[in-house]
Formats: sequence, structure tokens, C-alpha cells
Amino acid sequence: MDRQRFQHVKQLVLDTLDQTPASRDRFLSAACDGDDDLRAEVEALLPDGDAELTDQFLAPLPLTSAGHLSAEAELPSRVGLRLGAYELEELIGAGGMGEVYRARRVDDFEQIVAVKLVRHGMVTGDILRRFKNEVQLLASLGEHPNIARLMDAGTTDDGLPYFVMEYVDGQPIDRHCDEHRLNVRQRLELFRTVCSAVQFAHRHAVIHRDIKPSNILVSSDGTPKLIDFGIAKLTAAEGGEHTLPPGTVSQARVFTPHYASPEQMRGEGVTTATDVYSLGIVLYELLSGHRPYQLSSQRPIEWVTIVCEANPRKPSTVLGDRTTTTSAEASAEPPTAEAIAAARGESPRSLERSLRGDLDNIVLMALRKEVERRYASVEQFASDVSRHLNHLPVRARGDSFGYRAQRFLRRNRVAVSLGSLVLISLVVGIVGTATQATRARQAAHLAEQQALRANREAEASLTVANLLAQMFEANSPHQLAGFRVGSVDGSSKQPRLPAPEVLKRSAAQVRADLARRPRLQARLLDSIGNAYVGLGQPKQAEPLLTEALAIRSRELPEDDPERIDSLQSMAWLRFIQGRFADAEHTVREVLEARRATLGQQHAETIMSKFWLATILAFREAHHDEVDALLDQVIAWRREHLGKQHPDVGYALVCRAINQANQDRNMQVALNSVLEAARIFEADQSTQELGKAISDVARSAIEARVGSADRAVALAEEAFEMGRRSLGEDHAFVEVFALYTPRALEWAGRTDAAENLFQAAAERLRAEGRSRGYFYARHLAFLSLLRRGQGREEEGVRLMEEAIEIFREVLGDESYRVVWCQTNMAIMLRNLGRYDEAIALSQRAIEVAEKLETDGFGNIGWCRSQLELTQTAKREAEE
Amino acid sequence: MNESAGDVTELLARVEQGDDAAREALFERVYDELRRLAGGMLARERVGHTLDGTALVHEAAGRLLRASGVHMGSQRTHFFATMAQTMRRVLVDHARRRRRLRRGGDRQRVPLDSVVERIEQEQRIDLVDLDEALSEFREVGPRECQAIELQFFGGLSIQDIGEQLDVSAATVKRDLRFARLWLHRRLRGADDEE
Repeated sequence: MDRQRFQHVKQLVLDTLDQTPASRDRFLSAACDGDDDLRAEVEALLPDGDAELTDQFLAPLPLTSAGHLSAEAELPSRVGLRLGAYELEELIGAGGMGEVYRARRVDDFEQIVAVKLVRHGMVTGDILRRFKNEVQLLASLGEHPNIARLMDAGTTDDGLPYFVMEYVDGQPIDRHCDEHRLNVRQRLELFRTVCSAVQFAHRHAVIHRDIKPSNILVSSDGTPKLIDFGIAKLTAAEGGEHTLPPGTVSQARVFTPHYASPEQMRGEGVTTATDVYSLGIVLYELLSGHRPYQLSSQRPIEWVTIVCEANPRKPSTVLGDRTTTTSAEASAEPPTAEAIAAARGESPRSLERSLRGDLDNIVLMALRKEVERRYASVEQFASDVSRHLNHLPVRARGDSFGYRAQRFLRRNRVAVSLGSLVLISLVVGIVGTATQATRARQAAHLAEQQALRANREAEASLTVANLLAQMFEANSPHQLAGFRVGSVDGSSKQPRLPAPEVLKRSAAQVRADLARRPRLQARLLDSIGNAYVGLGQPKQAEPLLTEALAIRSRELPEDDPERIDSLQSMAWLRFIQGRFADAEHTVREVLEARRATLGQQHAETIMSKFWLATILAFREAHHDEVDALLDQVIAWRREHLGKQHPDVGYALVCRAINQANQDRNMQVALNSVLEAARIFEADQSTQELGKAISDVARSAIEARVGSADRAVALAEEAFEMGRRSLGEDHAFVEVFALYTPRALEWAGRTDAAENLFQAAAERLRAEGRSRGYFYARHLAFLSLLRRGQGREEEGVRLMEEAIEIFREVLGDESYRVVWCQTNMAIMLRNLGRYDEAIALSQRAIEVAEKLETDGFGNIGWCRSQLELTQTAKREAEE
Repeated sequence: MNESAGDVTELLARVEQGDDAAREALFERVYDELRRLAGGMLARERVGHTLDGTALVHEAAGRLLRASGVHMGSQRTHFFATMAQTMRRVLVDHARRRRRLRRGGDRQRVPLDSVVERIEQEQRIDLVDLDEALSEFREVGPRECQAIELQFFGGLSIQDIGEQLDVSAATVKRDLRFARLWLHRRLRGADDEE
């Protein structure tokens, strides 16, 4: 197309767009006058649907622009710009998306207003939406003497929206209070007025979501005004909700971290209670001149943990601490307790006295982590403030011990709930072991053949081969033999794994006799190692599997399937040991190798994806990747195995649990579980076990969002079914045994939960399995229950024993040991045994750093617990 | 900012007189500054700040302008025009390198990665494709092309673009509108489902 033609087409396109849609066709016919090529060109350029969409295409990047730079580079801003009847006079504020100017009305009325408009170069769809949202909210809010009111709204010549608000000539509330040296009573009265504004907004279904001193301006006559509804939201708004993805610290700038509630930090739904919380922080600061938490800008990653878990100190106790003063970060010299008290017309002593008691309780009640334990409304909050001012008894009470104990349990719920992921290991265990069993069978067969041929080695190899063949003989995918300790005599109708001593003997034999047949040796070592893992003895397995891998790495090319199998075995081992970071790295290696050698769609590649998903889910990491991996696994299995294949069911359950653990998509999760249940029901081989698995998953979901009673019932039933289908002494029965007490605990029936934990522990003890993984787990949970009951001495003892067993079974470097140690440190702290607690925490952190733990026993949690202990110790010493 | 202070002012003055060599030199300076800053921001990104184009260009432009004492008038417009072209080249160069390296396996992430990713995701375009499309567009509609470039990469206002291209605001709006349609068809073609 030459330039002339280009200009012609351009002209026609733009002219056509100026026509009404109905008349465009006629216009084009006339304009093109039979030139079909021209018409085709023009039509190709016309937007076929929503013209606005095309207008958004290549919308200006939020990059350089005169407006954008004006604040800092002193470039001409929009001062002097005339918008309607207003002329912009001075830039008085600039935020992420908007600029606020003081403006003067230039017609007959003399009036100063504030005009907010979108920054130049910041025009993205999202920002325009938020801007519109703010205008709508303000408009729906109506008038309140303590909310800056909306006066006008319009669009600039550039097509950018703006709105005009009442201009508040004032200072942020904290500065106002300090500069006017308001005493505690005056501050409380002012605060009560602010509450009335927030209350008013709540009555109009508007949540502010960003309450902080700089958004509460106090005019010179002492009237506070609430401003900036930029991220506010309508409680009843459908689809208008703009929630943050969970756990993203980088999103923290949408709100202000110091004033953000735990639910905001976690990216959960926001209610009026969120404003109660932020008001609580504001009051905390107004009264004490301090912030409840020290959120270091160096470590934003820890904010979530601190805000969600750390107990705020009583305002009356913080005056002397110079690290948390409100201006600690801004100024080099934080104010002293004397200065803070003086600004309130008091001495540090007397200020402390006036805060102690009621005011401590009131502020802390607003700051409670759990929405339902805060003031139910701003009204209640304000009324308690009033009652205090009138010397009436206040509603707020200090936390009872029972409450603190409960909170502990809840704080650990993240950790506790992760137990549901053990289920995944069950599922994978079944399937994974089945695959490994098949391979072991092949190995055994091969060994037999080779053994028959090889003279000198014949006898030894044959023995081993037979042994292995027996070991895995009757393993079908859904009725695996494993995990039951017994002899190899096969007298029971269920095949059993050989006893440890048999394995030990065979390992020695394999090592001694097959030195000259390294490949066979490696294969058998691998099988025996896996059997140990199945017995719950990873420590014994480790040298065997390591050796097998070393032999294969030496003898075989890097991408040889056998070597990759060995890697897979190592991953399984690491997983059982709880060394999830190692497991993840290894499985990723396996997956890459299988992708490269076998292709994307090979069964083994898919299996590796399933594995990776499991491990990631267990680490509570990369939820989205887990979802994506499981989607692929499910799709592949549906296509290649059939929609009704039990393996589809297992993957569905996995995905459901992953979703449930993110506390989102609960309905989708439940549907997946129900679909899995139908599959299991229809399949002869899985009927009962499958139902047990899907019921347990349902129980986990019900416990969170449904009825606790139903959760308990499901868990109990699943336990019975699991026991029936696996056999009473099957190790995995313990997985099911874990669910009922947990569901009971969720339902608040801690006594019943305790009984069951105890019964399970006793059962294992009676069976002589008191040195195993599951026994230790029961002890650990029992210990947490004890702590909740305030029986911490006993809790410490139980945890100590659990840790000892875990270290024996899993090795020192396990997330679970880290988790137990940190929990034990918390108990020691509560008992006042600070030095022991600190030493233990430090040990845990060391390992956590090495393991890169996230989710369960995560580093941030461990560190914040250590900090809390150190603080407690300092306080105790003072 | 050292030696560059007087530099930029002088270069801008020469650019204004139509000195192409000066334009090229200014371009190089801005380019260096952007890339240097991008490197420096890596450390900040690690501690949790997400880096975006805003921060990057904002800072680069701010530094250069403060250092040079450029404040007003046509010099400023020229500067932003250069900034826009530079930004285009920085981003496209980086997108191209990413494309190449993606085939080569692992590599360290740099801040420009997040800038490129954000643009590509938000706009659902490939920057390398966009660059090619712009070059084609320039052949047939040089002024229209410059207008969209100034707006997209430089964030210039309608008025500033008009000043730079010496046309009225109404013309700029028409140019931009058509440029969007043209590039939209070129880049999204018939398969644009939304």
C-alpha cells in the first residue's frame, strides 16, 4: 500500500466510524463506489465488535509522561488547567493512580475544592475502573459531616475522568493530636467522631478498607474528615469485589501494611470488621504513639506472618520501646517515652496508668486476629470508648486463657490442616508403589533369567529374585501388599512385605554376591530400598537407594531410564523423610528427563507430573502450578485410561485437596471429590478404599466450610472403611485414624478428639509400633491439644518424645522436626523457659533455612516465633 | 550523574536544531541510563519490591532531567520523544534477547524481564512483533506511527504529541485512532476472539 492509498483508506475508515452503525453500510457503498478492493481494506480495519476494546489496544504505558514526572522533576504539572468551573491551583497529593489538586471555582462562586484526577500516563483499564468505583461509592454515600463530600464529576479534554470534592484544609489526625497536645480524653472524643463517619459508611454498605491517619484529616476547627475511598468497596456489590490473590506480599501496596488486617494480609474477603481493625491501629497510635508491630521494610515477606500471628502488645506497655514509635522509620531520632507522654499532657508513668486496663482491652479487642472476636461493629467499638469516657464498665475484656489456648490451635491450623495432605501421599503411595511394584516384578523376573544362566551367581541371585518376586507378587494397584510388617510365608490372604530382618539379609546378599553384575545389583538394591521406605524405615532405605543411584550413575548414561528410576526412588524417599525441597528438585529432574526421553504424553512423564504436584501441594507451594499439573494429569488419564478409571479419581481428589487448602474454590473442590466418589463406587477394585479416600477429603472440606458434625461423621466412617479394606494393622490405617480426631477438634469437641488420639497412640504402643512415624504424629497432635488445655508441661514432654522419634525415623533434617521443635519452643516460652525455647528455635531455623521450608514449618513462622520469645524474655527481665 | 550533566543539555539543544548525530548521542545516553538503572534495581527487586516500567523510566528520566536542568518548553518535548524511542528499543532488544535465551535454557532473571512480561501480558502482544509491525507501519504512515510510539512508549499527552509532530490535537487524535486500528489488525488479525 503506498502512502497516498494509505491516507485514502485512513480517511474512509475514520469517516465511517463517525457514522452511526446503521448508516455505515450505505456510506461505504457510496464512498467506495464499486471499488471492492478499497472497501475490503476499509472493512478489515473497522473494529468488528466493541470499538472501546480497540481503543484500549496499546493504551499508553504507565511510563514516562510530563504529568507523571511533575512531582519529582519539577516539570510543569496540571496547575492552571481549567476543568469545568474549576481551575487547578496546587498539587496537594499524589498516589499510585491519582493526583489531587487544590482548585478554585472561577465563576461567580468563590470556593476552594479538591480535584482528583487520573495521573497522566496511568490510564489503564484497571485504574479507570477503580476511579469510577470511587466516584460511584462517594455518590452513593450521601452526606456526612465527617466525610469529605463529592461535589461534581466530569471528564477532561483528554478523556480522563476527574471528580471534585470538598477541600479539607487540615492535618492528618495523628499530627493534629500531637501538635495540639490533645490529652487522652480529647483524643478519644475525636476518635469517636471518626467512628461515626465510618459507621455511616458501613450503614451505606461501603467499606473503606484503607483507614489510616493520613486519610483522616482534621481541619483547623477540629473537625475530622474521612477521605480517600480509592479502594473502598460496596459490601453488597456483585462481582465488583477486588480481592487480592492470597499470600501475595507484593500486592501489599494496594493497602497500607501497617493498617492492614490479617484477613487483608491473607488476601481473604474483607468485611466491616476490617475497618474495625484499622481503626484499632489508629487508636493504638493515637494513644501510645507506637505501632503494635514492627514491620521491617527489609523483610516484607514476614509481614503476613507477623500481622496474622504475633500478639500485639498492650498499648500501656510499649511507651519505652523506641523501635516501634510511629515515626521510628521516618526520623533518625525516635521520640522518647517522655516526649510521647508530654504530647498527651502526661508523664510516662501517668500515661501508662491511664492506658492500662480498659483502654488496653478496648484497643486489643479491635485488633483481634479473628474477625468474629473483634467488636462486631464500629458502633460497638465506639460505644466502648464512650463507656470508658463515662466511667462505665466496658465490654472488652482481656483474652482469657482459654481463648489464648484456642488461638494457639487456630494459629497452628495451617499446620494442622496440612495433615490432610497426608492423604495425597496415601493416594500417590498406592499408585506410585503399584508402578514400582510392577517394575520390581519385572526386575525379579529378569533376575531369575539371568541367575539361571549365570553359574556361580545362580544360587544367590535366585534366592534374591524369588524373594523379590514373592514380595511383590500379588500387588495389584489398588490392593497393594505393602506396609504391613510380617513374614514372607504368605499364610495371610493379604500379601505382606517381608520383615525388616529379611530385607537386611537380602541386602547383604545382594551387596556381596552381585558385585560383578552392577546393573542387576543396582536394580535389586533399589527394590529393597523401596521396600524399606514402604515399611516406614527411610533411614535403612537411604544407603541402599543412594548406592543404587551411584551404581547406575557410574554404569549408565545420564538419561538411561533405569537411572531415572533411581532418581524417582530417591524422590520418594526424600518425600517420606519430609525433605520436600530435595524431593521437589529431584522430581523436577526426573520429569525433565522423562519429558526429553519419553515425550510429553508418556505414562511415566504423566506419573512424574502427578508426583511433582503431590510434593508441591504438600509443601503448600505453587498452588497454581499444582492445579495446572493435575489438570494435565486428569486430562491424560481420562483420555488414555477412560473417564471412569480410578486413577482419574485419585487425581481429582488430589486437586480437590489442593484447592481446599487454599481455602478457595470449595464448591469446585467438593464437586471433584463427589465425581471421584462416583468413580470409585462404580469400580469393583476400589469400592471401599476409594470411598474411604473420597470421604476423608469431603470431611476435610466440610470441616472448613460445611457442617462440623458431618465432617466428623464422614471421618469416622472413612476410618472404619479404610480399616476394613486395608486390614486392621495396615500402616495407612493410621492416616485415616488422624482424620476423625482432627474433625472433632474443628468441631470444638476437643475432649473426644483427645480420647481418639490417645486411643490411637495406645493401639500402636500395644502393637509394638511405638517408634514409628504415625505414633510420633499422634503424640505431636496430642501435645498441641495439651497446650490448648494449658497443660504445657505435659505438652512439652509429649513433643519431646515425638521429636525424638521423628529424628530417628526421618533424620534431623525434616520439616516435621522443624515444626515440632518450633511448637515445643512456643510451649517452653509460655512456661517461661526462655533460654531453652530460644536455643530450640534457633536449631529449628537453621534446618528450616537449609530445607527452604515453606508452608508447613515455614521459615517466616519459625523466625517470628523466635522473635516473640526474645521479646517475651526481654519483657520478663524488665 | 557526573559527566553527563552538561552533556544532556547540550545534546538537547543540538537535537532541537535538527542535529541527527546529537539525537543519536542522546539516545545512547538514555539507553545507557535505563540499562544501568535496570541493573541497579535488581537488588531492590530481591527484597520484594516489584519493578515496573514506571519505576524504571520515571527514575531514568528524572535523573537525566534533574542533572541537565532541562525544565521547559520544546526541549522537554524533544527529550520525551527521545525517551519514547529509547524505551522502545530497550524493551524490544530485551524481548528479542529473551526469545533467544529461552531456547538456550536457564538464565538469571533481570528486572527488565518483569517490565517486558507485564507489557506483553497486559497488552496481549509480543513486543518483537509490535516492533516489526511499527516498522512496517512507519513505511506507509510515518506520522501516525510516531504518534502512537510517543504515546505508547513515551506516555506523552495529546498536546505534547501535537507539539512534537507540529499538528493540531484533533489530528493527533485521528492519527492515534487509526494507528490503533491498523496495528490491531496487523497484530491480532482475524483470530482475536475477544
